[in-house]
Amino acid sequence: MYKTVSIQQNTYQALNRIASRLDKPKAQVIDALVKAYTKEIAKKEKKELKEYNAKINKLAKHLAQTVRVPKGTRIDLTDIDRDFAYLEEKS
Amino acid sequence: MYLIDTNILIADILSKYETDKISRKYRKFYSKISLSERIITDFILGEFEQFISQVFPHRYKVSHEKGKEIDEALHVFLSEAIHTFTLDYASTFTTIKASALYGKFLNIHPIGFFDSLLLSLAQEKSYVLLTQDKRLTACAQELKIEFVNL
Repeated sequence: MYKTVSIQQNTYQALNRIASRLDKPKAQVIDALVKAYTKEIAKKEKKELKEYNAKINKLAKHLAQTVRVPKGTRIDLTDIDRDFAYLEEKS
Repeated sequence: MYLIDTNILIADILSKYETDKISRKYRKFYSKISLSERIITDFILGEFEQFISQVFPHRYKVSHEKGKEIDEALHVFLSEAIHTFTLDYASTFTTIKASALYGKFLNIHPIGFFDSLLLSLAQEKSYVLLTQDKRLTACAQELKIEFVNL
């Protein structure tokens, strides 16, 4: 797959230098760099996801405790387009 | 990269109510996707906001006095999503393509324009579609767009 990316002239020169030094195509150097960065940020992202999920869980819990629906109600999200019809009934 | 549909966001914020089995299944999958891999768009956030602030109270008979609590929770949720997920939007090209898709499915299995925009964007950027809407996944399948099937 070919995608155009705009990079600075000195970044391109550095990429060229690394590729020549390693005797690898430039695309392979980019693949390796992206792979290394992905690995580096994976741990941080895992922690951020855990924190985010905890925050949203707390928010969802607070919402369910303060905004109650009639007992026995089940929220059905299998067809929300159908649910938007309730807005017409409202007006 | 997963393009997130409105029903997934709704299932997340309403997860502490008793929800249907499919929503729970999709939410479980969604909760494991890293934040930067979640793509959300302006139009999906708009549809989500309208559902929670207007459809949800009316459809599920919530007291009118609870509007403020809903709006506050919405604000926190939207702000978190905007600052942690990857944002994308429908370009002119995406919108024109969406219009063609809207027409294409009109006589087969009609979908809304938001859904058409979602399909168009997923196709353009090769995103994996995450939705529990079976009509939408049927269209995605026809267009050879990758989607999560649970």
